[in-house]
Amino acid sequence: MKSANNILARIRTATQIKSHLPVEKSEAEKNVLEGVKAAMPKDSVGLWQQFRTELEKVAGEFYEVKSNSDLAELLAQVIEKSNFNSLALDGNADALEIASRAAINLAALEIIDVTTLAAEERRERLSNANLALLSAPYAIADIGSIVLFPNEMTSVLAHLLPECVMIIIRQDQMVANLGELFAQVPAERAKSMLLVTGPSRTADIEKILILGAHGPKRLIVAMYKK
Amino acid sequence: MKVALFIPCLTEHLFPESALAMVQVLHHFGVEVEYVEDQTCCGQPAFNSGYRKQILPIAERFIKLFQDKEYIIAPSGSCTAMVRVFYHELDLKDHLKSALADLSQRIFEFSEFMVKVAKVEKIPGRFFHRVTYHDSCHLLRELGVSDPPRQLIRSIDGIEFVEMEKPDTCCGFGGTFSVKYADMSLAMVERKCRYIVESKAEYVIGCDSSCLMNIQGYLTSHRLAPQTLHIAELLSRSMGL
Amino acid sequence: MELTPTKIKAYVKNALLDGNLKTAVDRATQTALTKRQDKVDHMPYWEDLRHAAHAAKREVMEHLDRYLEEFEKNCQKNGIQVHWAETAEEARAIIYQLIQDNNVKSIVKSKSLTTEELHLNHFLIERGIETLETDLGEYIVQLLDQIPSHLTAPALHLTRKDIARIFQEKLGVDYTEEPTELAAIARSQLRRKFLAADMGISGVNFAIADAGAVTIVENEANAALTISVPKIHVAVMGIEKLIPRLQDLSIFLRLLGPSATGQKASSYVHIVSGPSPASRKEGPEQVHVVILDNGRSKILADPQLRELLFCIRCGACLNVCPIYQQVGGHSYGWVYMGPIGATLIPSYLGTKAGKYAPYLSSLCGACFEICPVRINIPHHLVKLRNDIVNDGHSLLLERLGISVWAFLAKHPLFYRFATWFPGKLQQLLPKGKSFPGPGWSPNQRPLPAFDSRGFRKRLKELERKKAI
Repeated sequence: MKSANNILARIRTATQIKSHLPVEKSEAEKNVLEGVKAAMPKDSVGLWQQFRTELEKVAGEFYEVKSNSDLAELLAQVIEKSNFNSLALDGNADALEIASRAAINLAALEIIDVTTLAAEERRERLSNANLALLSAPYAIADIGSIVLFPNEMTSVLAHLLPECVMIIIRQDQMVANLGELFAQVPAERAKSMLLVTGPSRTADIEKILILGAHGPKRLIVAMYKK
Repeated sequence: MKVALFIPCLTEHLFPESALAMVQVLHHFGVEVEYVEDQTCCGQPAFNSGYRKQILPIAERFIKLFQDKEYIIAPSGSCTAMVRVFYHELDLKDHLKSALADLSQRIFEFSEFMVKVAKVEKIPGRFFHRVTYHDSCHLLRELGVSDPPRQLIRSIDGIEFVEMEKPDTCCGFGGTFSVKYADMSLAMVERKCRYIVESKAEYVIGCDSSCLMNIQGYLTSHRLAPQTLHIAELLSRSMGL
Repeated sequence: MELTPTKIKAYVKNALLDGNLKTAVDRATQTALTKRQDKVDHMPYWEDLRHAAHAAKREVMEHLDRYLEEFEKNCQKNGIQVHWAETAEEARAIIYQLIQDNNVKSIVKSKSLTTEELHLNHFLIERGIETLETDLGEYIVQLLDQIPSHLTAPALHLTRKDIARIFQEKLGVDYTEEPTELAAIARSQLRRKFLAADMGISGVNFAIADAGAVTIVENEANAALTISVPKIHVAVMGIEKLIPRLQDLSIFLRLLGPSATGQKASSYVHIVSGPSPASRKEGPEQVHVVILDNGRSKILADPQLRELLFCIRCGACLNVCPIYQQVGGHSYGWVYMGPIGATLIPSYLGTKAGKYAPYLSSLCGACFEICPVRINIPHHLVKLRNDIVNDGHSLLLERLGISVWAFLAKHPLFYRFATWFPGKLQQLLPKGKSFPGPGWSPNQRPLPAFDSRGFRKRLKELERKKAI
């Protein structure tokens, strides 16, 4: 690879020249870790409360649920209140069960199992879906983020195309910050990761905040609390 | 305590009163002053414009003239910064480099010296006026001086001190910048003067005559009420010197 | 586009006269700064973050060859195809080859200033490939055939009226100034394009050496769709985008959000290390990374200017710059603008073509104060001015002036004459009048009167008086 070699050769020559740059405080990273730690809530209740605060700051919606029937009820409420008529699922059996339960009293609800659709059809159907129901393996408290691993998902478009996305997380999957996440999740897994913080947004028009730029307008997080 | 005066060229040629006021104030606090003969310019305008080679002999001259002084004081943040910070970037001979390192510990801007070295806490006298303060860029960001001038101002009886909006925004002088990009420089001083007028201050105090000259020029030609006043002159007036 | 100091001064002058531009830029920069300050106030370890980030970038730049090799190796292990481009021309050729090999007819792009640097869009559109910007600001700017005026807020210089007019004219939609309606129009126009595109081209915020992955940070989900819908994802990055380890993202993301948009965290952070697994039936089958030099290795070779490569393109220096705040980005004349732009323009384009840029600064230092990776921009501006002078691109008149001044500064007698003489000349002027400042118009900023005695003489007088 001629270009690669040329570039690397030029870089090697360049870096033989010693830098004039200031050498930074070696304590800096340590101080950051301590500072971040000091700002962390002390217990798991504190953690999810912090998550809730941060999520709501970025216009996310937060609900606590204690059981599958709780969740089904929440789902039904959201669908009814917003007049949704199509719900996309990513093939998760639990989610299907919950959705069916929610749909019992909802006349016109269409349930789409994304995994049964071919790629072309998926895009179309998901674009027209109002709501998607997914579950996430982790959440990050200090920034109110949801952690997804796209390679482990049956459909990434399911959380991007519909106008509203509901994500289920478990309280014991809440981590304090990104550093903690990297400590818990091996690099093999973490290198294909997506952090979602609130619905999509833009401020490109006169710095006015508008939700739902190209992705979801609403993000709902339902947390299973023990 | 004896201090050597480092007089910026702008002060020497256009604003000698500010330096004279500084001398009067220092005398009052029992500080002896010495004028180093044959001092000229620190080299800042040329250095900032990219003429590093030409500065070298000027810097060498400065270091030799001032190296044995106990303290060196300038009524200017930018000139002090030039010596204390930027001279270190020059290709000086080794013995001058170490002389500079030593000298750097003993060179101060005036208000900085008053508060940090002379430990002045209160300025006697009174000044029954409303004033605001402009942070000169090098004084603030290269020397880290923000509180000392404010402390001195606040300590004066009868003075009403108000902060203008964004006091640390550049006044637009920037030396040759005001010539090269005159329109841009003008827009910047216009904005600064707007903040000054909005603060309703009668005087805007500063530690650098270059900034004050720039600001006063605009205030005068637009017949705006506020007046610029160098901190040394504020102090000497309050003290009735 | 040949830019001369005269042209740039004209741009600046026009920008200053444009009231709408001033309002728009002022509002945008103030909003960003206020929101940023609010986040920084709650992070007492902010300064340590900056030092840590500087250290990480320094580590990478000092050993860039090693880190790039590590990055390539790990990318390839993950299934990413890695390409190297020495020049803009080569980068365009590589991308065009991929397009031809894969029969690509339409492309969606997420925000990438690196691709602006390459003039990629025009190149592809000329060859009949539909190439659409999808970031709302970039989309609008593309409709206008302009370049972005800010690093992270491309349409910062436009008002809703401007955008309403463009949409009506170029998209044939009904006129509306309502921002939510404008955004909805863009959403539906682009949704169709996303779903039909053959290739998605993105930039890279951080390339991670130890993971063999690229990180893309955004708010709109346009990058998400760009990299998740089409069958091919091409990520374009300069060699300087590298950070050593995956966990360094903790430091850089904490700095980027507040610095760029005043957010604690951006809406989407994508860490991409390869194509979609086949089982998923959606997403890219191919992921390519194009590693670009295009003059960066030359900057790397300068032991001081190397620091310019640390830039994470947050735009904070633009927001705080008293010059940018009043004229916006187009006055700088290139794809990188503001304080960092003023350093990059001569660094990339040469001291002759770029000689106007480092002087478009009063050296106030606000940029260094705010830079999340602690790039000492004023320091580099002075160095670049020095390079411009040494390369012989300064004005003769200026060189003469400096020579005269240097002579005076070395000869105290003549220096004192220079105090005395203008003062005497002053006396010839009518009372109350003073000299015009060079370049200053006398009715805008008159100089004060010269005192022919100067300080030295007056001090002597004072001392004499005291001795009596």
